[in-house]
Amino acid sequence: MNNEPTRLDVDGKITVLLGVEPRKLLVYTLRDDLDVTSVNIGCDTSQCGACTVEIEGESVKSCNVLTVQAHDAKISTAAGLAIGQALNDLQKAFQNNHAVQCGYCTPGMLISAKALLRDNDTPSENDVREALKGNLCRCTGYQNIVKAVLEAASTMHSNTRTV
Amino acid sequence: MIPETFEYKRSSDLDQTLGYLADSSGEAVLLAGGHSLIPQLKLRSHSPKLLLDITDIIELSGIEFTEGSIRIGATTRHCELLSHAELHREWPIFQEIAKKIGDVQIRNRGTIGGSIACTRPTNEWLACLMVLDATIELQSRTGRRSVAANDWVTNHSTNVLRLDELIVAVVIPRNSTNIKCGYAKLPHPASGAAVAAVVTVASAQRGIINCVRIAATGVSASPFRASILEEALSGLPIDEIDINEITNLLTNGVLVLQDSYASATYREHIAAVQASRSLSVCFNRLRG
Amino acid sequence: MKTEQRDATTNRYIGDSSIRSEDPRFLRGEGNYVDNIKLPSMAFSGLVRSSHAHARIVSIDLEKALELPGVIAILTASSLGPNNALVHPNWLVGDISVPNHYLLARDKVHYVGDAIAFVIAESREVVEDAKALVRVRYELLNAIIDERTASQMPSIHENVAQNLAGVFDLNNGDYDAAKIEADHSLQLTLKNNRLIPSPIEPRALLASVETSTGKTTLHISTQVPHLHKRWIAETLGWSENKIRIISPDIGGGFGAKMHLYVEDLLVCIAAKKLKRPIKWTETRSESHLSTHHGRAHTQEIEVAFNKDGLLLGMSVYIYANLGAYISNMATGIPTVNCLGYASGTYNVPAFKGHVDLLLTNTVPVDAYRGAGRPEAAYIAERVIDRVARYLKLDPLEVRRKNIVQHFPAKVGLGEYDSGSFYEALDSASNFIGYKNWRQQQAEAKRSDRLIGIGISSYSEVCGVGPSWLMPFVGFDRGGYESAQIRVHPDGKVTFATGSMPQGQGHATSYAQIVATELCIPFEHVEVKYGDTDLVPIGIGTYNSRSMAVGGSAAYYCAQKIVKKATNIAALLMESEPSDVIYSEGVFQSIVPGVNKHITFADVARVASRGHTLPPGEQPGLEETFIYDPAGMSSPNGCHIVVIEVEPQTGAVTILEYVAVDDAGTLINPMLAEGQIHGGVAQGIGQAMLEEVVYTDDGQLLSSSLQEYALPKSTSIPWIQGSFLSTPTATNPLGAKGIGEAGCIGAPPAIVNAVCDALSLDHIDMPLTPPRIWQAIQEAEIGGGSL
Repeated sequence: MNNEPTRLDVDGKITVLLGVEPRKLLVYTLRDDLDVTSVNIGCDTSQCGACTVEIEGESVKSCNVLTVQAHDAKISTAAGLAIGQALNDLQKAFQNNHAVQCGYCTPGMLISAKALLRDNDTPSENDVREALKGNLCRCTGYQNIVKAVLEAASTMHSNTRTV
Repeated sequence: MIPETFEYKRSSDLDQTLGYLADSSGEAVLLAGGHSLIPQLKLRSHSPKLLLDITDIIELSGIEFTEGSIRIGATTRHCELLSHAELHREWPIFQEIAKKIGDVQIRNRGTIGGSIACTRPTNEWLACLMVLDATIELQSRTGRRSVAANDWVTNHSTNVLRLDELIVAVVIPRNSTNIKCGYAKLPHPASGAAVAAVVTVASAQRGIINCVRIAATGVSASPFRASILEEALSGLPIDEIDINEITNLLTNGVLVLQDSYASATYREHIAAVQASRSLSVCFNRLRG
Repeated sequence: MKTEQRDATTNRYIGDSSIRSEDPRFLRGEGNYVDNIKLPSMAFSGLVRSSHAHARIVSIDLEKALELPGVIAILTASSLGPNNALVHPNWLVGDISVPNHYLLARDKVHYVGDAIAFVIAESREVVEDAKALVRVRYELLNAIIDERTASQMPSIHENVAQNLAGVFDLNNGDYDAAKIEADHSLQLTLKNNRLIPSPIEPRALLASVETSTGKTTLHISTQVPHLHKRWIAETLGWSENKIRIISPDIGGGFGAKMHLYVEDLLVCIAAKKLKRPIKWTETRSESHLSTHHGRAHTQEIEVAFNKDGLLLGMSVYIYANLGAYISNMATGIPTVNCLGYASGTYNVPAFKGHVDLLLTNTVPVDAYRGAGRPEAAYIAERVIDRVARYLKLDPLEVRRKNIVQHFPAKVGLGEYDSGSFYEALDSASNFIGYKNWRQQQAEAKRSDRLIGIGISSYSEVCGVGPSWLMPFVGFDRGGYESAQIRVHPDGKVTFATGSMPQGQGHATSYAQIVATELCIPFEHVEVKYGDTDLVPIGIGTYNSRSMAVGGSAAYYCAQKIVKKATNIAALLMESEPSDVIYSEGVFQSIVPGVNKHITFADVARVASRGHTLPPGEQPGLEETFIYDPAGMSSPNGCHIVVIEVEPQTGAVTILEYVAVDDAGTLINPMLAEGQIHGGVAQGIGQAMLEEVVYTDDGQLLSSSLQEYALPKSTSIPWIQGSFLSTPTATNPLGAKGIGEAGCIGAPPAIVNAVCDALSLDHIDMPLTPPRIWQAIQEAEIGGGSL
């Protein structure tokens, strides 16, 4: 048992957990203890990326991180993307391009896409495919997800230019 | 897929960590990115009693340039090696290797020290360090020592790292003599690990190869230097080498792996192909 | 089998690429999958599985595990006693010897992954710890893996002689005579690789029992909630009205989530016994051992044909690997679904077919997206290409010569009702620029580049029914689907269907149908599914049936609503119902001089009050319609792919992929296209990446996603597509199925392309670089030149 409190900032909401078992994976803490169920589990060998979250602004597979490792870290999930009731540009592009089927991989895809677009606001199709390589989708064949990310990039790019 | 129980300690103090390590009589394991270790813990193929989180130890991170060498801290992550422009100016190979490791999420966590510490047959960084004639700095409570990357692996899958030691850094030379490099990798379609990957560094004078070092990974029980191929290449004029022919020497004397994906025959062949590609890139750069 | 067709001039929402109304929820991370659900005092569970493919259980030692704090109970065959029920299949084709499949293994285990003990504990962690402490001692027996030799080996199950659970024959015409008459005949052996369906959400269950009523609620990731309710009741002998199935969001199914698994029953038993909610969530690696696999055939084919490429006959012998037990639909897939369509889209006057249904010590094999039709299309499309290659004819021309052009056309046990088989060939070959690619291929060859062009023409028959016909092929279920429309007093609508989406977008497509037929705004329709207490009756979603069958139910149900509403409106407007027209949400009297109109919402309000109703009408505006299809429909298409092989490595690059598909009336073309993309990606997975590999002693080498390669974003090319439209007359919407088309069309197109590039007679899937390289070496050694 770990006697140190574990402090997690998830989408701006801070929780201090006591007695977190060191072996507890971050994804289970998020899902089971903090009710952050947008973070899904699709595999156990770090292939599928359904559990992708951002830790300190970097995309990470939360099934491969111990909760105690994330102590004091700022964690962002797909549940924190929308601006109040409104979907953000990336989310809108996913909807407009039918990039969601069963929805299970979607939160992880959104986080990976967000990470790409932060570093590269004019990605090529190949850039998008490379950026999503760590996220498996069995429904869409990826095409509409790639389309959505490209569309979001161009929307966000033109928004920045107009501002 | 839940690890067995263990204790967890996180310290920013190197000496304190080394003390824990020494006192644990081999029951402790170091944790940085966790991308080699945590999957093993989940599979319960490895069940240490204590995990020592070394992420906060400042001495273990960062890339430092000194007059004669570049020191890469053990907890430097793949993503940092992918994006370090100053490092790439001398050794673009770091970018080329890092780009082909796993995926974005894995590169954001996995560290160079972690990948060397558990010497897998598919380890890219060790192959890289071998051709760069790097040294690996180790420290324990009783002192420091340096091991040449080429002496790192003992008896195939084991390495010289003692249970009371940690990897502090890897030290590579500055690229003062305009050494060029090349890299080629065929990844496994599922795991992304190397079915075969080959790293080459070479230099030439007036079109004649005066130094070449080649290492392959994914091909045998551990990364290895292709010394027969290196010998065959050195002293040859770059433009007269039949690359596709000579790279058949890559696996001479090497026991080649086989698995349900690739037979030993295919792996041997594809390793030679990766060697050809790696050499071609390197030689083209030498030609300028 | 013609039915009344809806008037396509009032399409409104039908045919619109409406964006999905369910998406915002998923995009906010509010998808509600089974494992998200928590109930008070919920316990967790897990299975101790066999680590051997075939063994006698000598002993099971639970002592250490039971001592572990947090362990609540561990069930085994002996502790279950009479509750250790037998799991029965639901589709038995012909006379089948069904081996005993107990919930927990009694004295023998039959595959690596077979369930031995069910551990229930306070946390996920303790479940894993306890599983590791259960000691099972085995006495090992020889394992049988390969379907081709299974019948020559000692029986795995006492009641299944020669491991042959059953056989199936299908003969049309006289093949032997055709062979004698034919100019040529050729033989071909095909392996249809064993696959793991791999929905990204693994299976998950949460069972709870309400103490006061004894009612069991099972949250389950299933494609068939109502069938699951029935199966659980039947298997356990429980009252069906005391079982409620709730299927919230399902993270992909692809056939893997439409069978009755032992875990479904074990959680129910444990919840009742322990009086606590029990959750079970499969891990990915576990799912490779516990969720049923797909395909797994060896097919021996002979084809007889004339020198002009005309097919005269085909003989097909299928060795179907069913795994260790007979799963739910397992016997129907290689037989009715595969052998029945093995002649593909071609006229084959004489057909001789046989299937051996074989048991082995492997994970049970059952429906996986396409379920027999991909295996069938693979036979037909490899055969036609082989014939073309043998005769040195253009494969497109040989297809044109043999393709079915007159409908309905008899095939296997049924018929192709309608289609655009010939037009699809033309459309796809024009789209991709077939002639141009042939020129490019020839030019590339001069510079030693290996380009290949692969064609695949497919059809399938889906939307299984009518119900009366189903027992004749051994189905223990109906082929209908239900629809229920509840018009609230404000005119807004709750629509409930018995079908169950796993990503198809039913909340949108059903709303499009209902809103169109009721002439109300799309936003006024809320679609419900996945709760057997809410949806009165249903079958579920598989076999590309939702729009054709469920959609037709929605259509007829809406007609009933409009009829009743018209009667009420007529009364209110003092007109005869025949003098009332309804459009754009408004009822209007056409009686001269009566200038009256009334809105749909007003009628709904009147109906709910019940004050003013025509004689005999009941209050409320609510109808149920259960639609039983008049027949099945046959979507079709043609996929053409251009690939390049890198001879040095054996790597294949897809240069262009064109899919032309015809699913009749498309309710939502954007969603249909999404189904094609996903299906094609799974087909490419089968053709190029995926394969389950067993060792000779039955250990699964493809034990996790580190070994079993699912397509990644970087492995799938841009898929260009277009649709033809040949509406079916078998349902009022004219809609055929679209869900499985992609994975039927893709694999033969790719294999044909690679054979074309390398001038090979055949190469088995998956076409991995090592396998292609090996084939190139063998061709070179064999004296061939590329």
